[in-house]
Amino acid sequence: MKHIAAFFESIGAGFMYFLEYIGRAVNILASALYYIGRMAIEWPITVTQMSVMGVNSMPIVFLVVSFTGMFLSLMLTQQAVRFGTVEYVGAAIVYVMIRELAPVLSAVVIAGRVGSAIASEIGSMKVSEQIDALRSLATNPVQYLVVPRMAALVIMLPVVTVFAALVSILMSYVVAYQVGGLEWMVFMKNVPTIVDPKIVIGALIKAVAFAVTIAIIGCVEGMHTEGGAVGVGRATINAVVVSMVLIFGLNFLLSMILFPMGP
Amino acid sequence: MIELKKVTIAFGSNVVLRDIDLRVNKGEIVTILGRSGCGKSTLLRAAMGLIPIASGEIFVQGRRVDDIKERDMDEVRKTMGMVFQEGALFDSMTVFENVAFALRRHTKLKEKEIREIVNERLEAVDLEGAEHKRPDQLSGGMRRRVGIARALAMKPDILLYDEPTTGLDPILTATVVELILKMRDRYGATSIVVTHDLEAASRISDRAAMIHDGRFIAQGAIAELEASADPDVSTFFTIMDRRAAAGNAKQGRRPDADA
Repeated sequence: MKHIAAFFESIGAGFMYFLEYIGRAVNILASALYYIGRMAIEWPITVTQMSVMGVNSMPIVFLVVSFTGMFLSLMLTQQAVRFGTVEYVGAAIVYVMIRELAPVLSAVVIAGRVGSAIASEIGSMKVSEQIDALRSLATNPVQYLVVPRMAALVIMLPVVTVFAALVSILMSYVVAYQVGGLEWMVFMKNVPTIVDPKIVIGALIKAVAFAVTIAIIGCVEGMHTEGGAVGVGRATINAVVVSMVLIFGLNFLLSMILFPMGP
Repeated sequence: MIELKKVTIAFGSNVVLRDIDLRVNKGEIVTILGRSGCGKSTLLRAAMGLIPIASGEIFVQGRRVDDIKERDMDEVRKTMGMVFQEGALFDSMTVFENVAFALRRHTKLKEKEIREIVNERLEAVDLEGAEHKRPDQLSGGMRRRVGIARALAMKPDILLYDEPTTGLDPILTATVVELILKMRDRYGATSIVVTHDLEAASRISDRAAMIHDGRFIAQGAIAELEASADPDVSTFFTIMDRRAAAGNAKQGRRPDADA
């Protein structure tokens, strides 16, 4: 009986922690939206964060999406050459890259690089009383720390996603040309029939949703860090893990909502 | 003026402070004494609105602040300054940027005027020339003094000091003590000082209060507390006096020598 009671207690405690976490995230998001709605945005900090989070993340994002596009192109081109369907290779790659892979991979890389940085930076400030110092100087930490990071990510992640899609398509074409001898016109022949503006808008909506998720999770973890250096490490890991799980879950949900009919 | 009425503070089921009553009048310096972990710093944080209270009321300049929104509390905080135990300096900023932080955010002063104020505050804590240094280039004592300069920047009406002299050498301790007195004498600042340093406390305090087991067990002038018959108060003073004597002996001074 004791074990059964302990089992249910641990489930109950886990559920309470989950609810508390959601409450913290909603609270920070609502506060951030309040300041954004009043245009109380710290633009100098936001611009710095846009550079740190967006521009500096581009090389690694481009590397990841390039290799993914190249791998996809290698696989599809080899099969297409066998079955004589090479004119569909480009359309398939462009469709998958724009709709799914560019937003998700960009978000995953940025969650690893930026989400962890947000959690560790704010977490360090929390454990060294800098957040309390901010408040004692009549400065709201959400306005000063969360809003610039969220605004920077919401602006930069869609930009990174667009460039990531372009770079990955270009690199996948290079592989298709090398492996199957596909010319650019052949590669792009069926793209207009399958890729429409809705796909691009859907991808941008996803990028914005992922940006908010990464920023809020990083900030929630940072703002509630406890336990010194170990706590900062734990917050950093949690920020990355929770963000990544949410990105994949959200991507599935948004794909169902935004593209119910498929191509 | 700052007043706490029947304030109780708890973290979960752990009650740290119970039914605390404290009134600090304008221009008064009140010292909070007590053993480590007794809730002295918690009291300061509650007065600054940094932690919620379980019950009771807190008034700052006659305005009740324990039940107001964070945005309204920010307006109150503009008239207050807090010196944190370890400085709590913003480590991404230089010393100058730390001290100028509130001036840049909450005033319309020109950069030249801000520079003059920051230099004056840094001079007051013997840190002129350190404005371009980052917190990681400073010693513990220097960080504490930058924290004091930052808290003084806006010339607040109320100052809360959390262990302002702990770990400082006698000369710097004397500097900080003079600074606390100067803020009272020159600007009429109301101060609450949390400290272990009985020598500093006896020099700055108009009144002192001692916390034990989450309650105030004694309030009055330092001399009155020293003469208290309460066993917890007398034990605290005896131990702290012995420590001070040992510290003085280590530095080759008579126990009763003035710092």
